[in-house]
Formats: sequence, C-alpha cells, structure tokens
Amino acid sequence: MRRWLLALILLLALIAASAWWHIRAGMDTRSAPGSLETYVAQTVRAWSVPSKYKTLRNPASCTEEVLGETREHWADHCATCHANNGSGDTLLGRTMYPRPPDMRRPDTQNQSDGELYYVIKNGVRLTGMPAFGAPGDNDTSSWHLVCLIRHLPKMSAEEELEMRRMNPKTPADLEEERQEAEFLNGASTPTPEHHHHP
Amino acid sequence: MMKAIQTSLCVLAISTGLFAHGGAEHLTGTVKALNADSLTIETTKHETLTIALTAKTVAMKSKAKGDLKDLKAGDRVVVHAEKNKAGQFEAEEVDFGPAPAAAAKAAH
Repeated sequence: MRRWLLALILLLALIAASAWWHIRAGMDTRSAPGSLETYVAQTVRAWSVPSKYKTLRNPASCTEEVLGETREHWADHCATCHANNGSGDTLLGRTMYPRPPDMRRPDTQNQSDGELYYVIKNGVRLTGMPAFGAPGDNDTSSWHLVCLIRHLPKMSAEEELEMRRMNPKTPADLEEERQEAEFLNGASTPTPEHHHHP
Repeated sequence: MMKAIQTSLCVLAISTGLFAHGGAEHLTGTVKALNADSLTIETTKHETLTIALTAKTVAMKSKAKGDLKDLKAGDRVVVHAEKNKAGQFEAEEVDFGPAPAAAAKAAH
C-alpha cells in the first residue's frame, strides 16, 4: 500500500513539475514540440482512432482524373497549412504548434487509409487540424483526399506548378498578378516592387 | 454565434492573404547578371539585388514552365523570393515573359 502511495505521489509530482516547466517555457508556438511531447501526442492520437478505421481500405478509385480534381481541392482547402506538396512548409505551417507533418514521410504514409480518412473527417484536437464535412464514412471527396495523400511522395514539379495557380488569392493578389503580367509583357509603368505578402 | 462567424471570417481572410504567396516578396526588375547559383536584377527603383537560385527554384516563362537558361541580361523578371536565415533572398519562382523586343512590340 505504501509503495502505491509513494508511486502515486511521485507521479503527481512529475506531472506538476512537467506542467510547471511547460508554463515557465511559455505558450508561444515558435519552437517545435520536443521529441517526447511528439511521441506522446502521436501515440495518444493513434489510440484515439476507432479500431474499425485501422483496417478500412479506400473505396475510391485513385484515377488520374480523381487526382487532378483533388489537387484543385487540396490547393484550395489544405495547402494553406500543408503546402501543395504536403511538406507543411508554408508561412502558417512553419510556426503552428504542433507543426503540420511532412505527409510524404513514413509517419503519415504508414497510416492506414481509414486512419487518414478519420483525421480528415474528424480533425485532431489541440492542433490546427479541423474536422471537414459531415460525420460519416462515405464522404467521397475525403476518400479522394486519401488518394492524393498517397500520391504526395510522387508528386511532380509540373503538378506543384499547376496547384500554385489554384491556391487561394485575394482581390489584391489578383490585381498584383495582372500588373506583373503587364510588366513582363513590356508595359512602361513599373509594378510596385518589394511587394511583401505579410 | 455572430462572434464565432466573425472570427472565422477574419481567420479565413487573413490566412488567404498569407498563403497567396507564402510570405514571399515579389521583386520586379531587369536581369543584370545570371549564373548557376544566383540572379542579379536591377529593380524598377534602380536598386541592385542578388537573389540566390536553389534546386527548388522554378522558372516560369509566359505562365508555362520555363528554363532559367533562356534568361539573359536585359530580360524583365518577377522573382518570388524569401529571405533565408542569412538574410539573403532565395528565389522560389522566377517569372519572365517574351524576349524584350517581342514584349515591346506587344506593349504598343
């Protein structure tokens, strides 16, 4: 009994020390999570996926046509954080906490189709990943996204270029594009230079 | 409810603006020099900038995939670049158009 009590006190002390350390370290997102935190978070997330999804296979056919349509979907909805190529190397992705994973790597690619679908459909708490669409296992567009995630390690430079044109743009971006095109085509009026996108 | 909608719209608006160019600056100017590792341009405000070219730099000629080898001194370019940790610009994308003579003809 005493041993259990001692173990419990030690565990509580460890949790309190960890909480104190995290609070003292600050709550900013500039630093990436450490390896222990990453391991714990990934393990808990993996446990949280219902077992039926671990064996679920993608019912969609990942044809070239589907991949083409889904690149457009990804470029518009996902690339802001995940980047067109799935690397997560974007302005937002670089300082999110936790960072979006490089989805081309084994950590993502080794997950089952169902696990990937579950994350797209239900999101991940305490991260930047929201749930998309209505709950359910028959969302074709989310299964198509699983197709694209499988394709990310093989994505060509041409596909990435095509996706750049599909990324979200504000009216100011479109106007700037127009001015730049005019400049490249020989217009005498110079476009604003050093145009910085915050 | 309204607050949640307003917040969502703000996040969407901000993230759209942020992503559009991934934080890159757009440098417009004329090529002064080019080698395998860097591109030097004179900007439209007559400032000389040297921009590093990397394996990830993509060339776009008239909105189609191009080749940096086609660039030469005097060509107009729009370079999408970000500063690296050393503070030097690194080109993500170099856009260029038709040859200057053709461009001048098109402009008239």
